[in-house]
Amino acid sequence: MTPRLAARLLAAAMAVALSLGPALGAQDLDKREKQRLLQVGDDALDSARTLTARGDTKAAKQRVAEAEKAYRRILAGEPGNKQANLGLSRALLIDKRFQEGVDLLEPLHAKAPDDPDYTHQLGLHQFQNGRPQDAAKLLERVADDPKRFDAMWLLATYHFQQSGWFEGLPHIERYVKVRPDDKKALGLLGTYYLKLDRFQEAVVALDAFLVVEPKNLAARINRANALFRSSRLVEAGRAYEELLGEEGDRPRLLYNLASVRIKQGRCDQAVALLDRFLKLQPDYATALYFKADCQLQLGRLAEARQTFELAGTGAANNPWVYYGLSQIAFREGQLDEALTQAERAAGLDDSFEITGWLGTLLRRAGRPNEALAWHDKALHKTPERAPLHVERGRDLWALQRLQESLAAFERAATLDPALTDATLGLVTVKTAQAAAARATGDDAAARRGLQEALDRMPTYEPARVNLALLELAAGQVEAAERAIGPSGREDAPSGPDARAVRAMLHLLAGRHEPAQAEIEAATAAGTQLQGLALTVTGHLAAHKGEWARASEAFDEAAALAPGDAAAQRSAAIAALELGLDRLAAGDAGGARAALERALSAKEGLEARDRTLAQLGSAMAAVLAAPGSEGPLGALRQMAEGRALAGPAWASARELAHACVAWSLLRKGDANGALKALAKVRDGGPTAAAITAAAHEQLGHAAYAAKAWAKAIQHWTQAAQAAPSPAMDHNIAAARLASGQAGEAARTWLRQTSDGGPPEALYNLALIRDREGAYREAWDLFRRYATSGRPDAQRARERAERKERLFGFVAGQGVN
Amino acid sequence: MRSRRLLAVVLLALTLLAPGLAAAQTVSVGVYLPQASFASNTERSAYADALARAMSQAAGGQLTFEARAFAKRADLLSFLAAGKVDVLVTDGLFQVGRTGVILAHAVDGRGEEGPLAALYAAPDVANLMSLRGKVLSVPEVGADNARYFINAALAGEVSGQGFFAEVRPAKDAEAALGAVKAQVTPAAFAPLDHPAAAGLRLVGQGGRIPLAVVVAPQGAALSAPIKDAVTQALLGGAGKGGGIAGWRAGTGKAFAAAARAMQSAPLVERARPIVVPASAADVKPPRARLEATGQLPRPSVGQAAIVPTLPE
Repeated sequence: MTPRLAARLLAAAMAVALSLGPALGAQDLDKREKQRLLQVGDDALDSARTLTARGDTKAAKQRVAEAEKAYRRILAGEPGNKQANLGLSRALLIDKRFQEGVDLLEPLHAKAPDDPDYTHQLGLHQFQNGRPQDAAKLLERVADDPKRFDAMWLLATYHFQQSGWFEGLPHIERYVKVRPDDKKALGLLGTYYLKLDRFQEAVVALDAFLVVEPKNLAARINRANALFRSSRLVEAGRAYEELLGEEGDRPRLLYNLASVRIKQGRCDQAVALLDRFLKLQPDYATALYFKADCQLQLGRLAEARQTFELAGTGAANNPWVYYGLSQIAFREGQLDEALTQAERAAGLDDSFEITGWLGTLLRRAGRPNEALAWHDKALHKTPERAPLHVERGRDLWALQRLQESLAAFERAATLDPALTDATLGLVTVKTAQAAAARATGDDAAARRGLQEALDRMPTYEPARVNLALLELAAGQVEAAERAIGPSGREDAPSGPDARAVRAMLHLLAGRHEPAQAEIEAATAAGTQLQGLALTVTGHLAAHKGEWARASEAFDEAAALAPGDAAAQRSAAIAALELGLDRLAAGDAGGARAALERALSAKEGLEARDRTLAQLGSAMAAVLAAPGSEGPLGALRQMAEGRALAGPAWASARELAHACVAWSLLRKGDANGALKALAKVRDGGPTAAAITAAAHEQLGHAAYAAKAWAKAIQHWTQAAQAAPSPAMDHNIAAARLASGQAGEAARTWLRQTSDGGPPEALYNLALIRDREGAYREAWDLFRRYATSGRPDAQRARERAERKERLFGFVAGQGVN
Repeated sequence: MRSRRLLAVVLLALTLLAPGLAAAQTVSVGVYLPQASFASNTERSAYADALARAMSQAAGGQLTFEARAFAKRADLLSFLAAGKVDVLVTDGLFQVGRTGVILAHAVDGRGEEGPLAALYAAPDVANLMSLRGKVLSVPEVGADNARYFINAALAGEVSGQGFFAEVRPAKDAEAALGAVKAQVTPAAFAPLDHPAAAGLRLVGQGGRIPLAVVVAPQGAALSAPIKDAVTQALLGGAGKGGGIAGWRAGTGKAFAAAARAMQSAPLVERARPIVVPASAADVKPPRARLEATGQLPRPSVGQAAIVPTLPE
């Protein structure tokens, strides 16, 4: 007989025995026997469990059969014996005869529905018999009992399968508590925690589980996930890296590690990981999106655009793709395109990121009203999000709704005191409100507002600058110094506006060099305080006598503040000084332009300075158009009129007459010039030069008319007024013309050696020619030829001709 | 053109017929070209005859032109004084300062109105300076030949009076140059490139001699048919020879220039001194710094304030 046959026979025998059992044992047993049989059954079941745990299923099965036999004997006499029924139920469970178990227990449970033992056992059989939902209901009723840990376990696994994380967690927690030695249950517990976002606890549970099962891949992945979710990014990254090292490029691990790198801001590594992931799952839209987002963060806009579009292909109408494309367009400066994409995204998704982003773009596009509506919408979704309140505050700022803007920034700052944008917005609004108060003359409110702003942000430069300006306007120089602080200190503002204010303070204190340095720096950096900067620049230039620069600065300052009388007056005075400077330098055009500006100023010149400007302008007009009748007549009229009458105007008047004389001279009216000069008591060298030029002119006219004696007379007078070799020379010419060749020759001979006019060479050559001293004449012509004078070419031709005819060679012989 | 010719012929016929259909009128043509380069007197005479024939031919037989060649200026002058010359073909220099109307002027083979004036010297003469105080020859053509040649050939660079001891006239250019070759004078004025100048040293050159002009000595008194015949003959190609290659109507530029050269003092005597030009334009205008009295207001900030901006 084969062992298999023997086993079959034994089983059959047992089945017969079991089936006959009730009949055989229909007679009730005494209490002791029942106790004994119960003990036999329980012992057999314990033994069966131990054998099962050892893997000896055959022996275990025998023990289960023995237990079943014992329980059935009791039940044969007493079918309602609870302990025997429960024992039999356990035996059937171990033997996996769940339907029989259900058949056994359902009637019992029906009779005693509140009996926890029957409920428990029936639940166990139903669970194993494919009715877990019915079983769970039964087991839930008894699972509180610490002894019924199997019910806890089944419920934990049941809910795990059903993703009933909230429902299952109490069971697994109780199970772990009552069976602390079952470390494997910690794996399940860790997973439960992970699913319920209790990441730290998940990590603790999984760490404990992995002590007993260190290679459990699922637990390791879950632990890495829990670390990631609990923002323990370094540990999570390390865990994923280890897993990838052991398991190769598993997509989920690559994806999760990429997520870690993204969170760590290491987009370059994330992109590489996502590329590896996308090789395995090329159409995974989320991975594509993250890759695109990383490329965007890295500033690789063209690649990002391509990837976003690819992500969009795989997931049509993905709002985040449009959101990404909007951000790219914005970064590329294409605001319209950014808006279009953001609106498309907002049409598909109303998440606060997208609606908030659309609002921000709308404000950037100059549509703050719409921006505000979108930010309100975003805040409706997430009312506590401080950055959105900041955005809303900016919208309201752009709409000039300052009080509401202030409230929005206050709210943001309350929600997140560390959010600097909120504080910055807050102090900005307060400073703007203070500026508005000052403009209405409410200096107290302005000062209060500025102080409040500085209480919130002591380094806020606009508030400090405005406070200093407020103090300066009130004449409180020291308070202004305190408000702006000294330059160079770390906590003192150093922007262009602060430097402009500091320049003014230096100027007022007479510290011109530092004032100059500060104002140059402020101007170069584009200070807002242009009027102030120009005023300082003008005063500093005026102090140095640089009236051109001063005038330019004051003019610009006056143009910026048309109602500022001081600015207008400064501009007029600087223009007058500049005009007088230019006039003295002989720059008629510049003088006239400046003086006309001075005269046209609304505020400005005192009566004497006004007359001076008029005189200067008239003189400049004459200088600009010498000999022109109109300006000459005007100046002459002024010189002879009441405006310049009296001793106080003597020097100015005589200057005007001298100017008239000069103009007449330039006009060719030498006699008129001499007549005008007669009114100048002491004209100095200029008057002498005009006198000489006038006589010179008259001499030329006489010479042209062959009135040699008259020419000699005028040229002699010219030489007396302003001794000049030219006059001596011309007198000699007139003498030669009148037949006094000897005297002429003596004059020219002298002049050829003592720096006289080059014409003396030419004329002496003529005399030598007449005398037949051809070689000497040739030599003189040659010398004159190099003089650059108008007749030099004529002399050169004559010298060359003489060379050809006479064969003269330089340095050889005489006539 | 054709109608003009027809008109001229008709007028000529009327003029000729007017005296009562008398015999052809004789017109006297004087030829005096002492600086032309004829090889001989025979050639000079032959030139004159040919010219007269051409003029007669141009007159269509109604006029008879008779040529008379003159070798000496004095002979010509006496003929002119006697009114025996109706038409004169002469060296331009002869005509300078004289009455009469120039009808045409000659041109040479290069289209010039004549050769340059030149001073030729014996080969051993170094330069003009060597000729100081010496006797020179000059063709006796015009009224003041020495002045002309000094102004033309020497550009007036020597005095007409004192530089040369004498400027001695010769009957023509050939004779003047011949005197140099015969060592009678060390130098002579003559037309540039005159055949007789071969072997001599060229000392100076300039101006331009009007080689020949045709003149009506009596001016307007010369009848139109004669003028027409003369000009038609010359402009039609007659009168070539002795360096003359053709004729052009009018006086020509060379004659006017020659007149100026002959009638002006040498440059060394007439050059005017130059004067230093008037300097009125250089006179600087009166300059003085007028002093204003106004003071700049104390610097103030006014209502200055900055408007804060909210950075995005």
